[in-house]
Amino acid sequence: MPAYQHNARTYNLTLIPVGEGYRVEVDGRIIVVEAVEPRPEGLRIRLDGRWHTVYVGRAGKTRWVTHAGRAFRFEQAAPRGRRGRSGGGGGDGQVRSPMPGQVRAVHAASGDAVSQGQTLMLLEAMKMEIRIQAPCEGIVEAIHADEGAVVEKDQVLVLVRCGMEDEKAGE
Amino acid sequence: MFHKILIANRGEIAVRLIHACHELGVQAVAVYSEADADARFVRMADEAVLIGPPAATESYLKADAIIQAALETGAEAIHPGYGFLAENAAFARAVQDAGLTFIGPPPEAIAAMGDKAAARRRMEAAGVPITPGYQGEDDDRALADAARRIGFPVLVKAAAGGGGKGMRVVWEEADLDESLAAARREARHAFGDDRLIVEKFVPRAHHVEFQILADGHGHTVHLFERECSVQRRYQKIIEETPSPLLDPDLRARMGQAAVAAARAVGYVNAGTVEFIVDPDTRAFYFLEMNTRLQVEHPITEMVTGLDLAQWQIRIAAGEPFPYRQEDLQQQGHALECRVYAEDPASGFLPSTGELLLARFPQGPGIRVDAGVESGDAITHHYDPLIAKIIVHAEDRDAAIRRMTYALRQTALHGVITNTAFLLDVLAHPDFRAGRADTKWVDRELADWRPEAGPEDLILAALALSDLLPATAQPVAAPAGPDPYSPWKRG
Repeated sequence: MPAYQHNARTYNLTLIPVGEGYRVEVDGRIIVVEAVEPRPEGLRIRLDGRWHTVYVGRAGKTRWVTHAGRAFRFEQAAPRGRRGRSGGGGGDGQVRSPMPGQVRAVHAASGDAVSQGQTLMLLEAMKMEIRIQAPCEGIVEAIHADEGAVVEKDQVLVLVRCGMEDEKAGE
Repeated sequence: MFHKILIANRGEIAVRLIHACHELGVQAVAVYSEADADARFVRMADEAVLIGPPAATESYLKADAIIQAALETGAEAIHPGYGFLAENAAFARAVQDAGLTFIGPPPEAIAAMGDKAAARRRMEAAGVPITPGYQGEDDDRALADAARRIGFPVLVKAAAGGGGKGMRVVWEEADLDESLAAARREARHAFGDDRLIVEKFVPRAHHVEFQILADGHGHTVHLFERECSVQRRYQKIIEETPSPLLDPDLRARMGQAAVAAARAVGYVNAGTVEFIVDPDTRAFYFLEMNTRLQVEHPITEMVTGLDLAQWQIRIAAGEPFPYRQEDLQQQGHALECRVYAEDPASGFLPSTGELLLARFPQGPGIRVDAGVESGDAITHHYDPLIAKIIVHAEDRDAAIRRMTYALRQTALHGVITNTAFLLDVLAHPDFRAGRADTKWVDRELADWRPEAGPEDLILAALALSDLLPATAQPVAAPAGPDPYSPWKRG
């Protein structure tokens, strides 16, 4: 049973052929697809007696579905029952680059106490300045990219140890 | 007329300019960076010259390499497009010094309008209305004194600027120091020049710009306005003409001011005079002049019936512009939506990747200026503009309907785009009423989210998607029914 995530919500899908169409079960709810025709860039799907053109794309674990100018991106997820994060995500205090770019300025140093949302780094990508912020209150454990460094998407830029423990930061 | 022109740009504007060359029977030479080796504009050009690695500073901003490429390929003229070297007076001069024609204004006019502080003084002298402001000694204390004198809110911006870089609205004095520092940093990165100026900020201002065209024989006209108020942090999103704000009297007065502004700097070729308009008092103020073709030039082409890119080339070749001001009129209504690779639901964060699918709209009155096709990459090296969708219809309501229809036909996979956001703007009562000002998007739509989660149709298509062949590399549409279609089975 394939499962897909969109905006942090998981959809568990089951597809059962019925006549010329399909029955799609989404977490127990049923959608009746009366008929389907392939198209070079997607599908024509008949729901409730009406045909709709839907564009569908696949790349690795990613699925793109667009109808009427509105696109949805889904990621293949572990099916129901296997909860828990696997890599990729934020984790505790790992600050990752949201996209490829170049580090313009570094505003924190190893050992600094930082507050949640504090700007740690400025990244430039596609002519935009993007603020890299602390995910939590804590202590900077390591800076993994210097000013001028070219970084990839999801590369760890800064490591923050979350929580302030006993000692007070600043005065 | 020229026999061969070099296009010193990339993406959709390079494609647009190659079309103009080819229509005029002129050969087009592209220059490209390593990142654009397979780009659409490179494939379209008659010749293409590699000028450097992906970083713009090592390719599209390398004046010497570009001029060298023109000389080696035998091009007689260089069209700079917009951005990059388009408003660089030293580049225009270097092109001329190499014995080539720069398709754009004289270097002196670029320099006169490029220094924003000097431009304000010249405009004031020419009788063009300007906002109360300060353009003197550039130290933080003098700027702070000026800001207090003008009264908050004020606008701090780069003296060398344009495109919103190094620009900040300061609402109260407490925020001034931080804003000056940030504006200086951005100005230094964007222009290599951190001088700043301070101006009165007009809340709820509309951005209305006038297209002007001047030939080399002393004839200058305006080609009416473009309303560009739907913007975010000075990046335009939707443009239209006519402006819902202007009446014939205001249009005539602003048009005259635009022509006066152009004449004051000895302008030749196409240019744009930007104004802000106070919707309450209907006062208008000179903002700046962009000494190049604008991104949004197609809407002017739609309503005037003139091909601006071709006229740029024809004027540079010495042709007189044959139409008088009274011969020109706005026919119908045109809209442009900029499709960006960015996610409006996540703070408009740019999105990069390979375009698995780029399906653009078709139909009467619909024009698409795009630099990419399915399979092309959107990289972090350049700006996130994927395409401009332009429509022309009999009136504003019809144009909005046509644009809605066009966006609903658009499908882009591989990067996140703003098409759903654009649809929501078009449907918004403020936009429908023509009330959007330049801060409207930042104010009303900063927390924009898609209207709803995926509906049944989307989920059904998702479930069925695993039956389709993988499309890591998109394939051409099959000519006929596919005998191996999985849909034929069972």
